[in-house]
Amino acid sequence: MGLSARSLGYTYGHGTRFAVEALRGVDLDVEAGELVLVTGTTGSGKSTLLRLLAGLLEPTTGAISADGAPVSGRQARGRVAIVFQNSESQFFAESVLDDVAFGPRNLGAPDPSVMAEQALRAVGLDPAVFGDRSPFLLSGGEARRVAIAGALAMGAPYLLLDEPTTGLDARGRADVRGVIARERTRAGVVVVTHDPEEFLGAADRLLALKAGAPVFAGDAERLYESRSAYESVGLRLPEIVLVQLHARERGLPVAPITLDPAPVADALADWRRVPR
Amino acid sequence: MRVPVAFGQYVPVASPVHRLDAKAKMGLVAAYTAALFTIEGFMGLAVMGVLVAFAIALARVPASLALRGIKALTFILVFTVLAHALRWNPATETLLRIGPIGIDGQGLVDGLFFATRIILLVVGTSLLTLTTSPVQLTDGLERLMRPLEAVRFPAGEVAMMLTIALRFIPTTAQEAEKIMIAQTARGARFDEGGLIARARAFVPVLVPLFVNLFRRAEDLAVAMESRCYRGGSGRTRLLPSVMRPADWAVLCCGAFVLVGIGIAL
Amino acid sequence: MIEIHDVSVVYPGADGPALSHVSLSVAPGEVVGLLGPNGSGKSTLARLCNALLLPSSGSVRVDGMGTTDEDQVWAIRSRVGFVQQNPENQIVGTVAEEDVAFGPENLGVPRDELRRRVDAAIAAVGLTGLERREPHLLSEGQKQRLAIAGALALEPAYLVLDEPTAMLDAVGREDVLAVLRRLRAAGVGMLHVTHDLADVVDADRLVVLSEGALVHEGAPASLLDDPGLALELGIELPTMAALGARLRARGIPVPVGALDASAVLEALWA
Repeated sequence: MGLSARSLGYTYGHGTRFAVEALRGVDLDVEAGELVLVTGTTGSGKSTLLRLLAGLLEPTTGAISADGAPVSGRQARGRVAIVFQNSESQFFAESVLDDVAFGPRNLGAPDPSVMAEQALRAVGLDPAVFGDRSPFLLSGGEARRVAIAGALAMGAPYLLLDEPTTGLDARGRADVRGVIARERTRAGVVVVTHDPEEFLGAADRLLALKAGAPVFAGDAERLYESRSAYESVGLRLPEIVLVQLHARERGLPVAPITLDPAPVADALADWRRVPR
Repeated sequence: MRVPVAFGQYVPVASPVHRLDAKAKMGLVAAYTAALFTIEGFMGLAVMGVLVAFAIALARVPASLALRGIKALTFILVFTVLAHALRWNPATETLLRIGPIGIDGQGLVDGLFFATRIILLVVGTSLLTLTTSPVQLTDGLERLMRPLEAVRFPAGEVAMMLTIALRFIPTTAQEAEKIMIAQTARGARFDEGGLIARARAFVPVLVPLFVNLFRRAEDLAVAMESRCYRGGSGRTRLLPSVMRPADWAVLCCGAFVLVGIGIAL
Repeated sequence: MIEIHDVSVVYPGADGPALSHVSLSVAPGEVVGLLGPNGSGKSTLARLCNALLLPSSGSVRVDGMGTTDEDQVWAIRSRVGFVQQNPENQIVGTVAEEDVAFGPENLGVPRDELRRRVDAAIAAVGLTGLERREPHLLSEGQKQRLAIAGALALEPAYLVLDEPTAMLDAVGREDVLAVLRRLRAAGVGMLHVTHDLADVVDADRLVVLSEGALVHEGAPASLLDDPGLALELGIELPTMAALGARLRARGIPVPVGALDASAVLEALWA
């Protein structure tokens, strides 16, 4: 089961003389409870991939299914939810609650307001406090979370987020990471990011794209072991990972690679026999 | 990545028509339009048609682009012809009669005349936008409006507004598309229901678009003020448009010929 | 010198002051990083520097010119360039070079000089060759560099940048930061507002705002070597900065402000 894409390919303007191949040969799997990252440089096809997974585009080649059923057009709405970049620029309703309820209302849910309230709570915003506020008067982090709530309210088992922390301050980013951490326990989550370091510690797998084709797919450990493919296309592993990898080559006792500076500093200092 | 949207179908090509100053072209279009409306017979329209065909060839622009505007006019053209040609229970002689509706011979001729004039008007003026970039157009307009500053008309500011509006057309189109996709992802439908339902369906697209436009206007105002914009007067231009002798020659001769045709035919 | 002296700013209808008794200066050629969470007053402070905003109390002077002096406003705005967060909303021209020319055109600079300034500004931001490109065909990073070029065309002595990299991806951000480093080497003074410490680790000075008040001022090391203080101030230390700080605390001489693996590894084997 799960959200599954096989040999996915997409060409904009397929069949016309403006045809541009944006994606080819991509495989992706996400189960409920998993967090998968998609990264790549600009023009790598990350956003195209998300739109395909959300059923907003029909694949030129390959197929996508969610829990066994094909993902396509309207049927995708209740099964795959997507949060676009700078999603707070799509607000239109007079109150936060109305905006969040838009999705469930379109799906014909019997109680869209209730679903909206649940979604607001899921992103850490009290509906009693935020429900009646104007979505246009929220802080950056709050607005971003309301936009995410709008997608959560659709009750889909799979959630896609495109650069969910861009443009936020430290607090806002932490809040969004918290929402994602909570959601991945019940849903399958895909996060597109240009800075994988932020989510690498929590992710199950990473897919790296370059010019529409996959250059790496696997978990973090595999990424660290086979980094040449990843780096050959202009992506860089987090610096702290590079430090540990290089140190290992020079004899640092092998330990799981971590993105947390505290144990890394201790391990390095102890190894170089520098007293505390 | 989508094919970029070009405003007014400007086709950048090297041709004598492209090189002609925008103001001269605008002057010619004015003379052309005046001539079209003073022409009295099909002979005059035919001559104009030949002139326009010649201009399109000179401009090295694909004829299909130049004639594209006609397709959008189909309804108006058909309506014009029918409005002149059809008679209800006509008392006078008709070409053809189907029940109470008659097709009047002279009316048909009139209708065709007016329809042809419309076609020539659209094709002729579209040559202007095909061969003149948006920047050149607004520059030209600004120069032409300059004398109006004597009567307190803010020509410089109006030109600036036009330039900014033009600059943001593709951007706004991209943004509208993004918003539509985002709302579609939340289950919005834009193709259901009657006219009113469809109009209402666009609220979730129009509201964010307008909110973003206002925010954009604010940011732009800050940017412009920071870069010392203080109105249209006293500004120099990097690429000014100047009328050279050749431009004047073409304008004068062309206008003379066009007006002559208008009067004579 | 940009001298901000004891300024307070109260927006009409607001609950409290956006800025409260803040003093700050930027000397010629100096790079000052301005940090703080959203709502701390960073943008407000930035806008005081080129007279976009006037303080409710206190004074702002740019090279001796006071921002409240109406006659000096345009001279001040030629001296202090301003770059905003959203690349798209700063571009006025229909093609790149038209936009860069906008500033000096407003000042009535003669055409030959306009050409020279536009070409120089475009070269300074690495966009040579894209002069006739329409803005909507540029990447976000290119647009932001274009915005910087537009400010540079006024030949300012200082640049105030309000979160210039917030809306950019990794590549765009790198390109913009590279341009800023080059400009710094050329002697342009800067006030770089950002909520990301990594952008300003090699600044001359860091200033932190919180709820309208200045709560910290010092060299980058003052924050990088004090994770506790950074946390208290709500500043997130970049991972490598935190690693460097801890290694320094253990006696390994990692240079302050080094964010890449090679600097740390060099220090380990020093």
